[in-house]
Amino acid sequence: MAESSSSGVGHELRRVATPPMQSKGGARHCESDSLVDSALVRAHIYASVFWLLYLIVGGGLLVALKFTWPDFLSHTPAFGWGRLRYVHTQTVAYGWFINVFFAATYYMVPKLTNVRLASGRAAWFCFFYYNTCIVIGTIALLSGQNLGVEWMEYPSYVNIMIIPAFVVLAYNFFLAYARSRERNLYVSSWYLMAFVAWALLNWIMGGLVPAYVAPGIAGAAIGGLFIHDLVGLIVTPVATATIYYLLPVLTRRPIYSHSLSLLGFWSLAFFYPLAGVHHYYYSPIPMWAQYIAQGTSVMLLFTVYTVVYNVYKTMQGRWTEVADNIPLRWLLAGVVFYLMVCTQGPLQSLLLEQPLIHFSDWVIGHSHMALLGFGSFVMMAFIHFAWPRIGGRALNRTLCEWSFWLTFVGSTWMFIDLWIGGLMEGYYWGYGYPWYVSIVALKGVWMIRTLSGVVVLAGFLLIAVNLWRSRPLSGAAGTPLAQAA
Amino acid sequence: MKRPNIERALVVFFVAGVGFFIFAFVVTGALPWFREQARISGTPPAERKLLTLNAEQMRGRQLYMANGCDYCHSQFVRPVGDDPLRYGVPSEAWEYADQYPHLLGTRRIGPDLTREGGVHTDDWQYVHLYDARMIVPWSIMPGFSWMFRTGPSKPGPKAKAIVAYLQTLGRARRRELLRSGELKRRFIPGIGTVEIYAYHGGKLRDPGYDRLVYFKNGPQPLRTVDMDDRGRMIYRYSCSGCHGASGNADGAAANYLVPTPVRLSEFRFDPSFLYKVLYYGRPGTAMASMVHSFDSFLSPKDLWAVSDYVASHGGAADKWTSPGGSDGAGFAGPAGVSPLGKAAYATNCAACHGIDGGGDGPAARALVPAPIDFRGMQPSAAWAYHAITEGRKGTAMASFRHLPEATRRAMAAYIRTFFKPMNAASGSR
Repeated sequence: MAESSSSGVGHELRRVATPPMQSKGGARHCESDSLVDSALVRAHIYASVFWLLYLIVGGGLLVALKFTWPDFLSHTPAFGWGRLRYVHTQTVAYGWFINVFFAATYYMVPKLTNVRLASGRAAWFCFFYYNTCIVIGTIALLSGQNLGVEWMEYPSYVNIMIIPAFVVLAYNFFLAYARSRERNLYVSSWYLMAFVAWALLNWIMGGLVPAYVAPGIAGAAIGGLFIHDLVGLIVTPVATATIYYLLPVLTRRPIYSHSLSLLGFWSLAFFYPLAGVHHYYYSPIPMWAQYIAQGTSVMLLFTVYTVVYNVYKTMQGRWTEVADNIPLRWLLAGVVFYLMVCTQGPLQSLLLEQPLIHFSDWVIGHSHMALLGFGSFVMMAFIHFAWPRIGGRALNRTLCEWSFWLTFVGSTWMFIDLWIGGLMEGYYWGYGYPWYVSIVALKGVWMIRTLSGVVVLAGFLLIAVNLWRSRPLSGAAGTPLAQAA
Repeated sequence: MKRPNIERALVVFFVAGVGFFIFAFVVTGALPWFREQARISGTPPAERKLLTLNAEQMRGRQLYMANGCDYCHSQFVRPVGDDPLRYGVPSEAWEYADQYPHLLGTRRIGPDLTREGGVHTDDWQYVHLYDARMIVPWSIMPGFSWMFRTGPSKPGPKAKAIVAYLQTLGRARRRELLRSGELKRRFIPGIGTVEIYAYHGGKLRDPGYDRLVYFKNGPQPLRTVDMDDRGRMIYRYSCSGCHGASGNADGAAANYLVPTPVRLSEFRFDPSFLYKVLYYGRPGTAMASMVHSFDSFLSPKDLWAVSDYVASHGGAADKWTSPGGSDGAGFAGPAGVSPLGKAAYATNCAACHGIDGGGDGPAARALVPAPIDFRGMQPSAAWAYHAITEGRKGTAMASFRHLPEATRRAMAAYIRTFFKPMNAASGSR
């Protein structure tokens, strides 16, 4: 598997500037690359971090507190448990992730294709337009408008409004690859290219089919597909593309095997969408569809191990760099979470275990590890990596350390706490205890979960502070806004 | 000029992006869809009609979605785990025939609501929706007081819509089960007309009923040392919201329920009768089955624990933990059969309560809630006199104020002679 040097990573390494990481001085600017529209990437990063903080403060934390104090704020309809919970999940997916994905793709795609974005003006319009849509969607959820499809709760008019934003993204993608003179297509490009198709198709499927076309159980099968594709075909591809992009740059060494990475890509593309029905195991969906979902869920082990093995072999002999290299540390923590979550996922998706863990907090712990552990950590690696390269000043090292460790400890603590809670619930239910046993016994678990959320929030707040402290000074480095547009 | 990049990009886009996605959509989305539609089309029209919601119920469903009810309350019964015992027969596809979108849910913080319709009365649902902790002290369900005008008994249109929707859940399946004979209606004196699973696939028996038969025919279950503690704990969590901490019917929800909860402190109980009440509930009152109301799924052992706890404390207010109960007066009152009481009972009471006080008079079957079985529960003389004089709101029990006081007192005394606690040793009354 030594052919990797000829498969596109070499030119990556040549092209991507790799300035030394953060120095304590703080005032030194890195040259921003003329290929990348730095202000645009920064804008999306600012927006994503804003939504990240909002979804914790205005969603997750309030929701978690209500487990302990159910009447807290509940006399105002807009702050009822259910509505805030939808704001939490919708903002995770569409406020935080899609924004930071826009940022990552606007950074990576020009570098991968060696051409500037086809239309910066359209991209800037997309930025304002998309975030306006999210604001409208959030207000709609709080005011009690809801499509009722899990993870697709924005009302239909918001869903339709968002589609042009994806079209603009696709347009910029295609023109970039059409104009590219590069001979090879690096694996990150594969993931991003497929992501564009998946985002658009999944969005249309989720917003349209269960609510309007396929009734009842048929809609549930497709709803399960949608939920799973959202994680597997939108979050995972971009996060994996980011892993494959950042790792060679950060370690200054090509990835171990390009072939292996492509094998991983094709297995993800083929198996992932087929596994959706596992969200409704033992429902009236035909059993054969559930068996297909079980089989393909197990096959996802293969996908994740190709990525992790590649990362492992690339890192071999360089593990000590994690101590000093903050983006690399975020990245590898994300990969470790990926390994854990995608080992846990196939194993827990066996029909055998479903009576125990389905419907319980175990699944909540699992999905938090997928999105908070894997997705968010990898995207935080991107933010830390990109910031000095898109006009920001060097980040404060002490704040970096604090934010990493607070987030890491808080989130790990949250996952473990939720798994324990899930097992408790599963056993209490399965042994036929009265329902109150599963509520009363979990009070402590839920309180600890709230505390862990506070720790995670503290970590992310420090990141926001750090980014703001290191923002480009006006008139100094970075691409001025006017020039960018 | 050759541009391999865009060619490969397009291959990825169309094969991996579009192609595999559509493949998965067809295999695990469209094929199950057509399969289910074919099966659903065989649903009998009567059940199909029950699946259709009217405008108010649809509004309730919208509110159910908008406020995230479906996040904590799933709507499908799995054929595995504890589901069939708690929630009844597993769900089938036709039950969801016209739902856009489905509300299956992926999490159970509260119990599943697939079969919620008819389990609780409307007034119970209103109190529970207003502030669940009034009625279920351990609940962490948020209160929806903003859907009400002034209090739990003054629901606004939104609360009415949600409760109307909740009462439709599972009604089509119940009808189908009754028609196929899997569910059977049976009148039980003192309880009312209940629906009992006859048999299901050889697997789902009626554990509580079996236990009752066992109790009648055999020795009482082993009373372990923790039974009283267990009973006290379950009473606190599952009963005290209505019946009050001391059995005086002064729980937070008591004033909003019609008929009001029974004042346990004014009655003496036969534990096996309590067991029946706990197991089946009292149709027509807020007293739901503690086995088939999903928030309080009690095992047979727990049912016995509560039955014993209540029976051992009933009839004597001073035995209840907190002071301030009724004086318990009247238990030592004039007992025995007086000709006046007997005659007045036969004239005024026997049509419903039965000539032997068993709650099985000729009119009993038609009454919801069903008349009380005096063999299983004995009121204090004072309470019996009170009930005869005032009647019971929300039931067929009318006021007999028009009778002379002496007659009412004699009736009250006569009623109390029916009490026949089950003889545990011989298994007969």
